[in-house]
Amino acid sequence: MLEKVEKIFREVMELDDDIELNDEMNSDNVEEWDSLASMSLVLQLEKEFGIKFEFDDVLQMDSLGAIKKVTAGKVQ
Amino acid sequence: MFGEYSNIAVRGIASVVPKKNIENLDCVSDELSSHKINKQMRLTGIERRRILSGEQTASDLATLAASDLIEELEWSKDSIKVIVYITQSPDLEIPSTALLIQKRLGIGKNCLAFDVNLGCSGYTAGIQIVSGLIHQTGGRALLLTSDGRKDIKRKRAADYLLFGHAGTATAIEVEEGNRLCYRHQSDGSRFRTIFREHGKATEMDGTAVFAFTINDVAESIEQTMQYFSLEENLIDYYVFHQGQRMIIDNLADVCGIPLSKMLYSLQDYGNTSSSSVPLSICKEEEKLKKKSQVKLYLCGYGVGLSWGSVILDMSTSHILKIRESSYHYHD
Repeated sequence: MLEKVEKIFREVMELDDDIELNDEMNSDNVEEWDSLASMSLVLQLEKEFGIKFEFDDVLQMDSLGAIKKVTAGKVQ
Repeated sequence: MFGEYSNIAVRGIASVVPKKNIENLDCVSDELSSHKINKQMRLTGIERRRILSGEQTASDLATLAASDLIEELEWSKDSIKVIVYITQSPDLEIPSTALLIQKRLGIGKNCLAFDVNLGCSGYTAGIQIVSGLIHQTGGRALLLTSDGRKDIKRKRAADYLLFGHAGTATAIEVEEGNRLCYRHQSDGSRFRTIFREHGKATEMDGTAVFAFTINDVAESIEQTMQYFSLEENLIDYYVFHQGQRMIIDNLADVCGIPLSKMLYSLQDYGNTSSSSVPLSICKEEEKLKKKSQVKLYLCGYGVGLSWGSVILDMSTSHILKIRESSYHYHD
């Protein structure tokens, strides 16, 4: 599941395969990470896993680590 | 709050936009690459916008729309008893710009005219306000919308590509047998989602706006349909505030609404604040006029946070095509 999350993250944020992902990645250090990318990411994760993020979930998803944690909590 | 009236008729809608057109692909700058712009256009669906220029103000557009509508309906000026102008861009600090509009239109003194400071939820709230004012006293009313100043600052360069300018007028009057349902909600605890202090740039947390829309607004639509015992197939068209295509379509998907029933204006006009719902109706007037009467579900949501729905039946005879103008009223 976390691999799928990272794959979607990489696609939305337009990160090449040779870039190593880390949980500290956020809107300050990922160039393509703006609010539109956040929206796109949330919608794709919801579709991929058949889940629904609440208002507070979305606001918490401010780093790759947080995205993985919140998504994992929803999928379980 | 939920509520309904049995005697409120929406007679017609008119929309006017500025002549100046800006193609988003022409907005490449040091801050915005063509790659970023293309990506934004793909996700938002906004390709171009109309923008105020010269001396023209937002209220000019609303006044022009009102003038067109009064002529179309052949309403006497003295029969208009209420003017409510939804705007966050008044011409003056005081008095309400609705009074300047009253003057420009030559509407008589037996009239209540005032502004309402609401944004993207303003149209549906405005219908509720106007209906409440006239449902017992009778009379005719104009609900006007417009927003936009040339000096508005925004925090992010990309945010400028989202917004356009438009003015609209909706004619409403009392007539028995016309059911209008409404529901409105507000949450001032989240005001920082979109706000602007005097003289400063507008601040908008796009992620929070998105989260609000797919949660609170989606839930509200589902609850409203349930409360008024409305099945999706009874509605002819749905008109949601034109924030961004990705959000609108997701909202439709969550609520089980087929995209074929959605009306849009954002591709050519962007996010026009409280004007976006009536502007979308005028944009699609040819489609609507295939039937003499349509049942519409209208939904506005945004700054406040504030969100609401109106469900109504209306004749399509007096839905006017969008027109453009550069006219400015010299007060």
